[in-house]
Amino acid sequence: MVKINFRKITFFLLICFILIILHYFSWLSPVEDKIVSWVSFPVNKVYSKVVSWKRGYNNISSIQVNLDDLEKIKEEKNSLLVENAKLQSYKFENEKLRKYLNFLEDVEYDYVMAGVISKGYSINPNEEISTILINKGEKHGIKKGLLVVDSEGVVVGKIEETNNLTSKVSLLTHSNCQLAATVQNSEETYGIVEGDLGLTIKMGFIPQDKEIAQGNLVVTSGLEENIPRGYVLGEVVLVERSSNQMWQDAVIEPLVDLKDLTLVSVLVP
Amino acid sequence: MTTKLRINRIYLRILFNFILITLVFLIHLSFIRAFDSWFGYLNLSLIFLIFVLEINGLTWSLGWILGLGFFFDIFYFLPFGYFLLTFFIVVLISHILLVRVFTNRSLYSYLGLVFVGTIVYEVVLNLLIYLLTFYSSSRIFFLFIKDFWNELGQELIVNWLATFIFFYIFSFFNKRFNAVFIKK
Repeated sequence: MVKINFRKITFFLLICFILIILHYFSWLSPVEDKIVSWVSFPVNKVYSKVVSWKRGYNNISSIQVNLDDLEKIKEEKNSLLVENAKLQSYKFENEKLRKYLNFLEDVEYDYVMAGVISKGYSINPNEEISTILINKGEKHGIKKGLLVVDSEGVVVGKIEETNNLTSKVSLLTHSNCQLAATVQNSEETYGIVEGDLGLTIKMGFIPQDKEIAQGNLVVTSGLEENIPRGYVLGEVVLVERSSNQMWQDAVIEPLVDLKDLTLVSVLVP
Repeated sequence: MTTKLRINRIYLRILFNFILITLVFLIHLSFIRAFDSWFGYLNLSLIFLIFVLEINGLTWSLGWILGLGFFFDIFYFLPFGYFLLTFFIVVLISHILLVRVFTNRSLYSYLGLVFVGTIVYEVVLNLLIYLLTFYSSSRIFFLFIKDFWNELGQELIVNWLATFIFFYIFSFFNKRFNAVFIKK
């Protein structure tokens, strides 16, 4: 018969029970906050270092100068510069017209920068890489549902849960991350963007009569609370259309590599 | 040895274990979880927990559960107590196996306990997570998801490799482990 020291185990379970009660009554919050604040900085540094090593290794192993690709990129860059210049002038005109017509002022958004400290746990095994933990929380004005972008302003996900000093972010490829979005085609098609199996993003409920093409940019539509309009999510890589269905789906590829994030910004209204 | 000296030694041992628990947790949270591929599946905390159980017995491993479980519960967004409970069940089952089945401190017993411990850890934790969302969503039970078994297999292999390496490093400096091959 296996001898189990029931006294030790009972004592241990009692301590666990007390810890759980103290946590749920928030009496352990000062201790937890202290631990998180001490640990966050070194953890973020180590995590960022590892990700930069990974990036460096991947870059070295995939260096192949392809002159044709380089030419295409140069052409694309030039046309983007021209388009950007036009958009800047439209923006200026838009602001002037809004002032003349006394439109209500747009809500101003602040950026709260946060470092990634780890990857989260997820219910579906293949979605574990689609959640990250950041070192900012409710104390910094972050709440559930806010948009998270990378250093270039490209959308990476949404805040799913918050603690006092940390938050969990569902990346775009996570099934919990749903965003109201617009396809930048000739008709500005609206739809809902959702992560698919931790691998890709799909936009569903697009009416069959809307023309969507590969390469169309997808941006936030601004129809959701606390999520501004115009932030880029990705581009359409595949359109799934069937003649006997009411809707068509678009598969979207994110513009940023979601596996190598070390620094993100949260848009706080 | 005087009582005072003995108490001082116990305090020093507790402090040393606390520092080690913190280091193991930090390495697990930041260094290992940053990797996407095979190395990212390494469960360093579990390996150390079972190691402490083998070397120092149940009491010290319960202390490690309190430390590691507390850290995991405050950082990960799961209900508080999930990791405490999971680690406790793993250690309890490992303790029973260690006393009843793997009765010596050889590499085989360590590997066997790590094998069983890894499976128990993943099943218990995923079951607790599944129960959390049982009523709110219609998710497939995790045991029927192919990716769960793929990742469990990878985790078992990586944990075993780490156990090998760790066993030989420790055996080099300390003779508390038995030989690899059991002598008749």
